[in-house]
Amino acid sequence: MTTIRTTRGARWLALLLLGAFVLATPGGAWLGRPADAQPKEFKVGVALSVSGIFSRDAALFKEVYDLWAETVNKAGGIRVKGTGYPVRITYYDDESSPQKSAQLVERLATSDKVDLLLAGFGSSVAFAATAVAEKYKYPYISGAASANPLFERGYKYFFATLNKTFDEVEGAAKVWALVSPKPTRAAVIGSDHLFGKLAAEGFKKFLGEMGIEVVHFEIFPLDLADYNSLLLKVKRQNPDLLLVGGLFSHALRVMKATKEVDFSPKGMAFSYGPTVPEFLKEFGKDAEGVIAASEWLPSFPFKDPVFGSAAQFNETVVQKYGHPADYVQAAAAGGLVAQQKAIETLGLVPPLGEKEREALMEQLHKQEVQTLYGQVKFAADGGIVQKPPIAVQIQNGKFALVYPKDVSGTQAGTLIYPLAPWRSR
Amino acid sequence: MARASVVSVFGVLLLLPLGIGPYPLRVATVIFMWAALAGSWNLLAGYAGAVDLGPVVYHGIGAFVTAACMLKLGLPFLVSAALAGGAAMTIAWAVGTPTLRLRGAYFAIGTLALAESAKQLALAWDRLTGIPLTGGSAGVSLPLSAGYLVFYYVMLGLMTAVTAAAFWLRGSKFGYGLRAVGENDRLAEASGVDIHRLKRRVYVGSALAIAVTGGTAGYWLSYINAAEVFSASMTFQMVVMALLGGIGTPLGPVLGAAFLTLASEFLGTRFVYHYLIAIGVIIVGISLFAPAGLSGLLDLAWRRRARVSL
Repeated sequence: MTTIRTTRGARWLALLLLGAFVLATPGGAWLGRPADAQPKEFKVGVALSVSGIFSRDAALFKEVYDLWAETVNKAGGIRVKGTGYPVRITYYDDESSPQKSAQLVERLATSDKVDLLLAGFGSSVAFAATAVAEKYKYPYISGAASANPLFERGYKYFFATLNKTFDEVEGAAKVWALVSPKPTRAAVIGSDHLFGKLAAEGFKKFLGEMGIEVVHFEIFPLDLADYNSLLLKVKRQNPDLLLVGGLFSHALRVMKATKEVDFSPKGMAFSYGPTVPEFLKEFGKDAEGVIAASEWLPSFPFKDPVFGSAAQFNETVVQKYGHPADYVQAAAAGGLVAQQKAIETLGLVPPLGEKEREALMEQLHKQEVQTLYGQVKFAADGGIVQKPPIAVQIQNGKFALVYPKDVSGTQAGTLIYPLAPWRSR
Repeated sequence: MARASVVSVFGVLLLLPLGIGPYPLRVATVIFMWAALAGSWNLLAGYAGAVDLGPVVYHGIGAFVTAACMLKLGLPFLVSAALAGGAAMTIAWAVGTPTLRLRGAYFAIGTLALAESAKQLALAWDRLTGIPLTGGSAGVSLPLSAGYLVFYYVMLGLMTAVTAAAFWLRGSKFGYGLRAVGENDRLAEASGVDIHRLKRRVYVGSALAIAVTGGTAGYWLSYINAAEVFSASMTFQMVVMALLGGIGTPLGPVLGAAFLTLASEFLGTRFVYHYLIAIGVIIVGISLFAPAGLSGLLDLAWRRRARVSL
């Protein structure tokens, strides 16, 4: 009896699976796709975290990549020696897993044979992906991987447009020297994760240099369930300032917990989070006066021939995606423009072989490019040079530059300090 | 007949790298890796009926010990991986002695808790002990390997060893004892089987295979961090693969690993935004319609063919 039932079930299942595979394999291609009928375009590939812990942040990248492809193709493609070559991007989902990311990057490099690689989101993914990119000699320009150890591996094909994590928080720490009365006691907390921890350590170092005492320093677990007791501990120390290292989700939960335990420090700064559009949506007026480490604002006077000015880039993002551009989006866009510029300068025509990609890497190390994100010049370790880290503050629901005093003509506004207590916000 | 086909498949796999490109080679290596992991889990869960939800403990230990031997002692990769296997066996013996006395759900929960605490310990290790080993949340970066071929053969070897062990368990006295434990451990004990010793041997053996797999995977990726190598999602993937392929069968984990990896490969690269749903549906479908797993389906097909030819 059971055998018969299993047999019938099995037949159904086999049929179902067969159907799925027939649907899934157009043209009968098994491993790898059929050769392109139209070779005169730049094949671009990226393994991005469509699912998993980085998915929310990685979605910001996809917006910029799509926008880049659309903008470039509308203008007739990447212009090389008078001919325009359109770009076509292939996306894969790395599930926020380094293992999967490495696998997909290898697929893009050896099976899909793309001309260019774009970067995924997050430092742990970048560790695995850059190892494969280095092996197959593909420049990998990240707009979001900034963990210091990434730059210590001696790779030639890895570039990043963000400042290294440790330096990135400098502005959000130094800004406190501008206020009076000068704060004397600060609490620094960070999530136990490559980026969060480095950011917290950066905060601690810069505060120490400024003579602000760090009365509470804590690295909390990534999957911490109870943020309230963490913030209660901080509240008991009664610090003037609270500085937080972590990703967007940590910033979100720290903000909520400070409100719930009714802890109102005079100043709050985050290494990342407030500039992500959902942050303002979530907290509205409550977010007033919060400071974030940043690298870019739409009001900066930078521009490039691809996206136009910083303000125009922001405007396009608002129109297309319904939220203002985050600075990691500008950082990614800056990397795209730098790579495109290098291709144009060298006069590289698709398909790009290993030799062309090697030349591209050397050009990226050599060149200095103006982009909407600012000047993009890479040091020998792939890090960006001469990019002052900035601090922005939420004022009237918008981001205002508060540190340093002047960025290429954009003047810093007055700082809101001290913050209003939770009850009167 | 069956033996001949298994040997010929193995021969083909040995020569496979000559005929395929780097990407299919990587996919094959990934399949072997998961087959070795799911197979190791299957040895204990499928034969002795002890559902271990913490096999990643040895995966993580393997990765970090391999990395430490390579970076700190300058040992070659294969030696480091072997040492990591030894370390994992020692720890597994010490851990297994008390935990394997737990039964059923208690053993499952106990091992799950063990894995989580191992992860937290690894994250805090450098801070607590002052001995740099895991790099805390920053992880450890390894040098780039010269080529990926060595990983293919190591993973192939691991998968083969684990599968051979499962075949051996099917026919040996040791295996009969173990399955008696799996079916009714009190009865087995009453009939004179030293259930604890049997289970511990399997536990220690599978820890060896899992640790070497972890060390190999870490060097292959060139970067390890505690949150990844000790992650519970690895455990669940092992369990799902073993169940999907057929728990308690020697080839089940291999089939499950191959099927899930290839399915996510084909569907994932074509339906980037929806493939996870499709894979979920497939998993539910198989567990509903073919509870004996893919190897059960194959068996059925095999028997029907045999009947027809009669």
